[in-house]
Amino acid sequence: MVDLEQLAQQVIGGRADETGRLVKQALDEGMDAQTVLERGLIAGMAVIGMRFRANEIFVPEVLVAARAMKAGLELLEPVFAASGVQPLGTVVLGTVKGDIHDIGKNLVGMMLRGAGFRVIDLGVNVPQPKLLEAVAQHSPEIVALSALLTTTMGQMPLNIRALRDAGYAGKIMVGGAPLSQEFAEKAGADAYGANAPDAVEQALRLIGAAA
Amino acid sequence: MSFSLRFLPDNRSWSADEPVDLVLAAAGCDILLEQPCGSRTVCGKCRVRVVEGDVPAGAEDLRLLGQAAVAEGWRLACRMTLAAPATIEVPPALRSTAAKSFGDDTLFTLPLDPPVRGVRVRIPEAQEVAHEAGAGPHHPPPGALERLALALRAAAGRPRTNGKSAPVQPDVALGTLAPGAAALRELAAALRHGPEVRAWLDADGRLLAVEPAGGETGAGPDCGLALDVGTTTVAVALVELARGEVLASASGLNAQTPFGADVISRIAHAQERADGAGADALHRALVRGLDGLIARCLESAAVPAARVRALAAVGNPTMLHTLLGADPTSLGQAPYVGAWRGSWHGLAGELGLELPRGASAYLAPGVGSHVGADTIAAIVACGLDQAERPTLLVDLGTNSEVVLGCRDFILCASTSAGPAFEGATIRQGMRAAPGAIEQVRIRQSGSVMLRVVGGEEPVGLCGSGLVDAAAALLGAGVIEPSGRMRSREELEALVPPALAQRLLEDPEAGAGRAFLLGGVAGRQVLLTAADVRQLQLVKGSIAAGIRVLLARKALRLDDVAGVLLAGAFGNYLRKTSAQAIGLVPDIDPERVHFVGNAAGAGARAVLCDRGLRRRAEEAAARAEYVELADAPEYPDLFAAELAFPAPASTG
Ligand code: B12
Repeated sequence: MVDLEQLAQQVIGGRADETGRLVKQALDEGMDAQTVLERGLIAGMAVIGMRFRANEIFVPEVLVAARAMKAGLELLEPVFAASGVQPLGTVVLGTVKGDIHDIGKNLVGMMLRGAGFRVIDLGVNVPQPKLLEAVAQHSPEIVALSALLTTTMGQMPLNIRALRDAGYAGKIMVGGAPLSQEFAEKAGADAYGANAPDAVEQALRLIGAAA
Repeated sequence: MSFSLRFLPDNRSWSADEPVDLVLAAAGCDILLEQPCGSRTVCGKCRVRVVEGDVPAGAEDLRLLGQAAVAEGWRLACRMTLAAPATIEVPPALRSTAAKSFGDDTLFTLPLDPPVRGVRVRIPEAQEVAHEAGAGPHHPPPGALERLALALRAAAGRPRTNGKSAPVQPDVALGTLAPGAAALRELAAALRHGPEVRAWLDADGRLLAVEPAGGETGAGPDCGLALDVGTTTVAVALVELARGEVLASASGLNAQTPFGADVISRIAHAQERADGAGADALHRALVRGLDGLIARCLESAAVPAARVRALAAVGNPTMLHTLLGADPTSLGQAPYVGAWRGSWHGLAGELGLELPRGASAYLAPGVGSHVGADTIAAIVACGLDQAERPTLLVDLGTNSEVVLGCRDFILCASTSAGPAFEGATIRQGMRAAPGAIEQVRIRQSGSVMLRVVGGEEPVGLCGSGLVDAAAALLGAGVIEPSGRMRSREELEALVPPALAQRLLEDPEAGAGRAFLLGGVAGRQVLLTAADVRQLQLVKGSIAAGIRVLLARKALRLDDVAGVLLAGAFGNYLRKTSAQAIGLVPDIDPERVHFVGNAAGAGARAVLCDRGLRRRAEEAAARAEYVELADAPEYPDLFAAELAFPAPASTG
């Protein structure tokens, strides 16, 4: 039997091959895919999130861990699809118009995936129509927007208004270095996250799941 | 209803009739406040004390200053908007002490060819030149301006007597004189004193000013002003044009700082107002600040303003836009294109500075996007444009530009490293003011040696101190190459106890570890794990920028002749430390050179010499701009370069 603790360690250490091997083995042994996800991959990414927040690790370590997680996730997804298992929720993510900073946004995406969310990443410099279109198509529980420039953070309230005007009733979360809790509130967002682990915490809160 | 705000200890007052931001009101009284984090309300350093008046504390005040300080009246300046009378004390530590220099004299080879020169001529009588001026018996006699043109032409044709290689005289013709109203007024006034006049012309043959030959101001040598308009620090040098000598210089915090710490925040301020009021406010603040510095220079050199014949300014595109009063909004969003990119020639009067209206004004050309005239000036000052072999230039500042160039090519990029070196984003970061730790060494025994500006008790850490601290801790094993700070437990097994004891586990609950650098109990100076991460972002973005440029030319570090480090703070940095943390690539330290404020030196160069000005124009014309945002390899290189190099030896 695969030791899921061991699997989590592979994710934490960023060993993609080993992660993939263990996930495959676990599935072959007939282990429940949801359990493998939760106690292996998600547990590993949770540790990564904690360490990142405490400044124990930084961007590169998160990137390799996320790569390992992805290797495992890719093997689990077909199983979920076949058995009709739903993700925790869907998040439409993107960097606002005029802004191309995506390193932080990508970390947010990875950690949300690592927490069990389905993430639709629209990329950078996302114009409003594209955002609205994606939201109409995927009906996400959460829209998550990133901005790194003082000149582009003004896009936040504009996007939020447009989303609401278009009838979007889900939650909206914002983040990025120049933003603050206060700014997020004024802009009409439901949540603000100062870093990627925060983003996960907020997302879980927004969908009503315990962190 | 109007109300008044009083600032102590200056005892200056500002009256307002609508709610006003404290920082702007203080700036209105010429009290410029340091705002290390750029009013993002994260650093808690811009604390002022409310002595009189009712200023309720907000949640941010309580969070960052603590209950006790708030009870004593301390508030965050960046959060204060005042709508009622109040008296506010601004502590000395909060006042800006920004300073910059203008480089050494090695740049110039005399004689210089100044872009403005004064010529003494006699304006011929109307009847003497009637035929030359094309006036027949039925034409009215030529005016003084037309006759002056003839005299200047004749003077230009005369061989020079001082034996020096004659600099090129502009080809003066009536058409080129194009005098402004001020010059015509002066001409008319000079005629009353006689036909002998001194006329000042710029390189294009434009008539800038006229004076009676025996006039007061013509008596001394012509002077010019070199302006280095930095986002954070503005510096002015009063220069004797013919010799390039700096007679006086002054520098100070850019008076736009209350509108934001970096160019993007300034642009955001302009962008907010569609009627141009934001851009206007930026322009007025900058000009006001410059006027103050110029006045200081003139006073200390005892030079009358009227003798200023030229000015040359360098700065990033946003600074030069706001110097001209042009709206910088378009520079704030992709593709970051301004109203113009090349050089600009005009008159000082057009800038609104308190200078002779007819003084020639020159804004050096930029490369594009956020790489501006300051970078071009630095390139010329360092001779990068003439280097035989590819050379790297890193201009350390808020937006840290990197240049790879030689006589065959020039590549520039803006790395947007961030203002960590200026103190922002670092918990106890500050500028190199008294109390700033500027050097850090760790002995074998584990004792920590600090050098503090002014020899005082340390209160914070400036840019060079930050780099030095990180390098020392990396070398001692307190920080791993990944940037992780080791735990107390790990250190106890690894380093002398004296050192291990300085490691504090989570002193602030949640932000992780910190290393105690020094300071007295209650006012300890810490380098936090989060600070190290911020330094890694700066280091990573610069190092990745360098790698992108090298890759574009398929060059390796070995092919590079040297690395030049420019920037106001560069000079205080230790090479070995900069290399130890990988801010400067790993090449022979002999090939790493500090060049100080190269942009300032370049401003002086393009002010004094037409040859150097031409070189700036050429460099700008052939410089290529590499947009890192469009470089597909950038994010991976950035991530890879976040790590520090492994220390060469242990201990
Ligand atoms: C790397 C970088 C770049 C790279 C970007 C590469 C890329 N693909 O992303 C390049 C070189 C291309 C670049 C370009 C520019 N940059 Co830049 N850049 C940076 C830098 C150094 C690091 C940013 C970063 O990646 N941080 C690491 C990540 C992990 O942190 P993060 O982004 O903050 O994200 C975390 C949180 O904010 C949060 N978060 C982020 N998004 C979201 C979203 C949600 C929903 C939530 C909940 C949380 C969340 O979680 C993340 C992970 O913990 C910063 C300086 C700095 N010290 O921050 C400047 C900086 C952001 N850039 C700046 C500027 C000015 C620019 C340029 C305009 C200048 C130029 N160079 O020409 C251009 C603009 C390009 C554009 N159109 O956007 C300024 C912005 C200043 C301001 N007041 O707005 C900064 C602050 C530097 C400075 N000069 O002061 N930049």
